[in-house]
Amino acid sequence: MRRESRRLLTFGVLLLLTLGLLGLGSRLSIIRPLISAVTLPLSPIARLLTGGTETIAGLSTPEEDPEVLKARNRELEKTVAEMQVEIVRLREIERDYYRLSGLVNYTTQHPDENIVTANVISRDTSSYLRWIIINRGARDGIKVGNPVISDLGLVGRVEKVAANLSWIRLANDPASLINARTQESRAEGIVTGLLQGGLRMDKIPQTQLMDVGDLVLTSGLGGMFPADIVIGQVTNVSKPPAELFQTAEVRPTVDYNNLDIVSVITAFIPVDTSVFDEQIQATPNP
Amino acid sequence: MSLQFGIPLFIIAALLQAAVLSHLRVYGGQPDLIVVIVLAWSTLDRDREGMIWAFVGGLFLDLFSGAPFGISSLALIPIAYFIGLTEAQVYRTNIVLPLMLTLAGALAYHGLYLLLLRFFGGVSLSWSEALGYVTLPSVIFDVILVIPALRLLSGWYTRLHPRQVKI
Repeated sequence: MRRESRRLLTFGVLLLLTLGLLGLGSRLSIIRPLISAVTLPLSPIARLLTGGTETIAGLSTPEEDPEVLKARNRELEKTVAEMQVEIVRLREIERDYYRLSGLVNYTTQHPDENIVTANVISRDTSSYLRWIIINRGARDGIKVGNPVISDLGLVGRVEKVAANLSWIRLANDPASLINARTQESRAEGIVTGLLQGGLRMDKIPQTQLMDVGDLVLTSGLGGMFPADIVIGQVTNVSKPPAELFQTAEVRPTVDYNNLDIVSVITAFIPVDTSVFDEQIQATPNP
Repeated sequence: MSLQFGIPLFIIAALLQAAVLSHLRVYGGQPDLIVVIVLAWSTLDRDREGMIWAFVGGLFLDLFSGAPFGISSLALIPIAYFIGLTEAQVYRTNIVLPLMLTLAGALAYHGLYLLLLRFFGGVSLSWSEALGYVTLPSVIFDVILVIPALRLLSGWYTRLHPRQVKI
């Protein structure tokens, strides 16, 4: 067989094989155990490399001018003092809240959340996606759709699960969609990820008031995430008069580039939206 | 490239890509080590090996990615095929040509990858944002990386495929 024909044949066979793999992966999900079998032995090495890289990255922070550091220190001391006042004030509010809720016989029901803690093994090899892989999987009770958090707020959502590994789509992935609301104004919208790594809150009705500095939380609508997990803080609001919706730039509280340990919520009670279903059913058809 | 050399090379490259190089982002771009190895090997070998390693390398890339499994192979195989169509052992005569091939190959890989990501993964990104923020920095990284990669791999290639001389 001529060399060119041989090459063309190899090209065709490889393309068909790859398309077959893509089909298997997306339709039957039977490819995941194979992937897990290959990836799992590599995960301790990946974890070691990731840890080492993060340490080196931390060490390589350039030295700064002592005067700048002193000024920053003074600024931080001032912030800490302000925060302490804020904590005292919030504790007062908390006490009031519990007292009032007892008075009106309003009981808060906190869902029993089961949490699995995991180490981040690696980040996505593709520059276009913002995913991480963690060293816990189906054997630890993790399922597709489980929310993932860190001590600072929302991290993302489990998208793929193997026996001992899970693939997490971070909140700043361009394909991520999270129902959110602001803490102060209760303005609702959808938080999406940006290729540049930040977040954008979109589909906020023009009538809602938005302020820079508002905290953005999960709204819990849709049942994908528990309500009131911190996502970030509004840094800029864009309200074009001709548009139906306003948008806001959101600075995430979580540093997605330096995730080390995350927690997967394997069980939570989603926001009850059945009242809307009943209303829809009760509405007569025109 | 023999299996006992190729598989460990791609395992190490995939681990480095996922754990180390993903921290070296300039804007949104990062060095694509596996892509560089595949492009360099395809430049050196005009037969089928470039395509076979494009397939294997792509699978290793997708092991550590949220993208649909096989998408990187599908983007890399045609590039390896077309690089194989270029004439003669260009690297041996001129360093500029392999650099141009890498530039074109890496750009084509990113373009194909984005198309396939949209088609198979349902991820639609703004072309202008992707090009400016991710593709161009990544391609620059790749062109820089391909010079040492070609130097290293050409040594291996000569050892594995010694030139046959008719006496």
